[in-house]
Amino acid sequence: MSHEKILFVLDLLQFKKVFYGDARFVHIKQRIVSAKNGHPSVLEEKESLGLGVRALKNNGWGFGCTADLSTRGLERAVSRALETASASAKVRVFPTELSHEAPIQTSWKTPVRIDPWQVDPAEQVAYLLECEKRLRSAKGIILTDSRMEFVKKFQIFGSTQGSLIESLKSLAGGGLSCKAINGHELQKRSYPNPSYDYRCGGYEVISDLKLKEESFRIRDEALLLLKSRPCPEGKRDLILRDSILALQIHESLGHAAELDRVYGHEDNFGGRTFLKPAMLDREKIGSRQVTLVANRPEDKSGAGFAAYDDEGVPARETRVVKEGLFTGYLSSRETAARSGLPRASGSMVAEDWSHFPLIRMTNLSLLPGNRPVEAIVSEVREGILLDTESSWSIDEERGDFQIGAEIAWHVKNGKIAGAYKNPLYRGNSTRFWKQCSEVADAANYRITGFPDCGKGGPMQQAFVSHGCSPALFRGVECYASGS
Amino acid sequence: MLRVHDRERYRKIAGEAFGLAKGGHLEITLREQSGFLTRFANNEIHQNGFREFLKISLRMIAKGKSARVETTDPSRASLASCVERLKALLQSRRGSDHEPGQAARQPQSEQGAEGASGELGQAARQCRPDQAAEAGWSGGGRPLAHPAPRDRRGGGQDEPALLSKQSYRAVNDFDPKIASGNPDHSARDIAEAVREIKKNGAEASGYDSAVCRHVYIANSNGLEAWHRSSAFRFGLTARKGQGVGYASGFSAFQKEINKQEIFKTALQRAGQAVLPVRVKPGRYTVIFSPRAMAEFTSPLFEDMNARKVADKNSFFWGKKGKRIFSKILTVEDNVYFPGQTGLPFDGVGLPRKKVLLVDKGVVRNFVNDRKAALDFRQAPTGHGAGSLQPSTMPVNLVVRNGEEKWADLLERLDHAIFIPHIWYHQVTNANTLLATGLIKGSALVWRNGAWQGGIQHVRYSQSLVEVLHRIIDVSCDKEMIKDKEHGGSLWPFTVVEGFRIV
Repeated sequence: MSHEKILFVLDLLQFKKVFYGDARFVHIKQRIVSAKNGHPSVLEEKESLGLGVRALKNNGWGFGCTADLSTRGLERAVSRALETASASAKVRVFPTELSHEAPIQTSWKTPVRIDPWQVDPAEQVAYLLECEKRLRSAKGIILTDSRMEFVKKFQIFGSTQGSLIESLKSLAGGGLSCKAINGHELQKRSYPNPSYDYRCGGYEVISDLKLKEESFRIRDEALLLLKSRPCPEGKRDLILRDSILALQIHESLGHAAELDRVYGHEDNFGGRTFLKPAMLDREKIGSRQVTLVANRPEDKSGAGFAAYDDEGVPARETRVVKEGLFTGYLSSRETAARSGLPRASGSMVAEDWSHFPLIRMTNLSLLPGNRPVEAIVSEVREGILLDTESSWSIDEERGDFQIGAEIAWHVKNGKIAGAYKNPLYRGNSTRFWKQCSEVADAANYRITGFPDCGKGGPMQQAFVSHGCSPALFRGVECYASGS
Repeated sequence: MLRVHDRERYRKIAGEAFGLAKGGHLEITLREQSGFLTRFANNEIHQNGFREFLKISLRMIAKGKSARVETTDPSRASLASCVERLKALLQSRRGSDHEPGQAARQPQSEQGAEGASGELGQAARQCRPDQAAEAGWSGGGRPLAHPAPRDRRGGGQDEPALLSKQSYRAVNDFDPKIASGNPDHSARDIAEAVREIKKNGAEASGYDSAVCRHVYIANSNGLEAWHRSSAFRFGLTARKGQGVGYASGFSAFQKEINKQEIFKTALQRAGQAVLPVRVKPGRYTVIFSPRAMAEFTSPLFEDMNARKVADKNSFFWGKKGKRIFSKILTVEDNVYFPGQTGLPFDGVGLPRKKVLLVDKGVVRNFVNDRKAALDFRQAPTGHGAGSLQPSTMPVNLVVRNGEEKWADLLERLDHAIFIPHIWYHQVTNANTLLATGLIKGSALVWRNGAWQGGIQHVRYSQSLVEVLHRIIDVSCDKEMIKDKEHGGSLWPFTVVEGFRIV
């Protein structure tokens, strides 16, 4: 795909007198390697290439796409975009404006040390089988699962406002899990997360994940859970490890900060938000310990990172929460302009060429505090420390939630005093974040990458990431599933 | 205009791939889709677009091992590249037969060696295409018509051989009128709905879509299966004051989608919910809409997979033949049932069979894929995933209906809560199938023969099994709920007593 084809599409859009148009050529390569119950399971490579076109004309948005990159195919995609824009224009109320962005011509790519495609898949399978062997090396483990996945996304973005951006984003991720059984009781442990963990980079990410090294611990913890008591009910101090805190950030503040929810765009599917525009720069939604930043420059290894989003906006560092005060939304050019924000946050992402971009979280991180996690735990008299998400349920405005973890560790007088099974905690987003009494320091900071954040219609999956250190929350309602 | 290619076009692509595989044991799946989706919110269209794609998935089997490659490019060059990749992946897979840590060593490529370091750096290797043949990849170069007598279709211990030609029953879920579907008509219908909704002092958000699909599977052992379908969907959330009403509809046939009825239902439910009603935590008699029940039970039926049961990884392990649900509940998986929609074959082309899952509350059967059927000596049910669905599971649920309309069931109740739609439904305990979630929009409170108002932010927590055990009635009217690419659930309105609101 040459830049000429993108320019051809942009010329067509301009010839048709669109107010704004953009085109994305996207070529995605994926390799998935997995093992299950000690045997190789999936060995798969996927490739997808095509072009998506967005047009804004007469106040209506339209979108077309094609995998046929001939002149005829490109013309058809443009005509589809114009056809839908024309239909949209018939049912519009608000004038569509776009926040200002200077046109940009540039390129960027993810630094990669080891190209996963240059690694023999046999070696990748063998690595997973070694993990599986370790997971299965104790009686009582009945099911094991391990996986690694690599993604390369090459994209050329162009807009009628003169932007032309070429990018190559590389992602790698993986993880493992095991289930232990005793009679009819099944307990599961996963590492790093049930949906695995992804980062920007190459094959080196897999060794950074330390899957082999963690296999024995995961195995032992699954077996330990079979002998553990259910998490006791009551209000207690709660320490969330980064693996589950990432989910808490994602569900209760991340989705809530998406500006399209304010305008009801997700009302029929993903819901609205408790973060109303009137609260911006006025209301505290967390304690002073809570500062949440989107597109943090230090987090470029996060799976959600892109130097420019899918409407050509740079990944703009945006403080969503500053020392507890609600200070910013994740926005598109359209929603930013409608809200009177000077700039969009650079959060528009489409799953691939066949999807319309939507406001997504990209990288959204909780800034670290000042003390090591050990110092924080040492001061907890009676509490629990949770590791690894297992379930999540939150209301349509992202307020009341209930989240489950795979394992709870009982903290007594500053020390780990045993494990509890089936832990759950519940709360309300603002109340909960105001209960945050401390976030651990940068030495404990880790970026978790989820591959499966679902949003929109047609449903789109996106890679998102959240950097955080473990944090302490005071007086949270905890209990066990089934209690 | 929405259209997908015809079978001849797919045959040509498949024939080309088989030729390139030179006698290799190859299966090809083509999924084509052409459709549009219009989304609206705050009474205006905010997203509108066509989505069209063709995905080609190739699976090659050799000596009982398989690998899969997928592309969106049907050109000969792309198919040739896919076949080469498959050979290389299969070679790697054979390499992985070695004990962990002793994988087949191959010459290190220049690129792989660059920057490689440590444990994983040693892994940076590349296999040569000719190594595939050396390692005994399939029957290299043999013409398809004369397969070798042994390993005839590439099968083995880990992967069953390719299926031979099968015969299929028809599923009629294609409406030729899909071709005339266009976003202009959709905008017109949405404008009409919005006008009515505004007139009633409400606002709406929702979607309207029309999609046609064609799935084609063929393999080098003579199997050929195809199915063309259409799908029309319309759904919305209406907001009036504090009342939120949801309604949606799906049909394979344009004339069966009554958009006016759908938006009027949503508006009516919003109106009925305007008055806020408080409900204390406790147990209540509830009526699930077909959508709410399909959503609520979805994790349960995913467990009715023979492999998961055999692996003790399913709630249903040890429960076959036991009555664990209400006697009112009878469920089958049956794509051929009138009103159902989906493929008459599974991901490898095995004919889909009707399977009785639950009979009057007793767990009867589970679905399987071809390998599970062979491993457990069961009759194959035709529910393998292939590249068409995420896993082996029932995909065409049909729940036996009752005799009365849901409005009549309601009349007989003194007090009940109507659940239109649920939200963030999650199993929190795999051992008991305890689940939690919220009612989406407003739940409606029925008391003394009239709607009293709506309740919001309602969370429930209860075992899926217990809820199905507490069914006291089902209606005769059913709705088809379709949220995935293939298949769907045909549920009646369901009355449950003792539903636990927390």
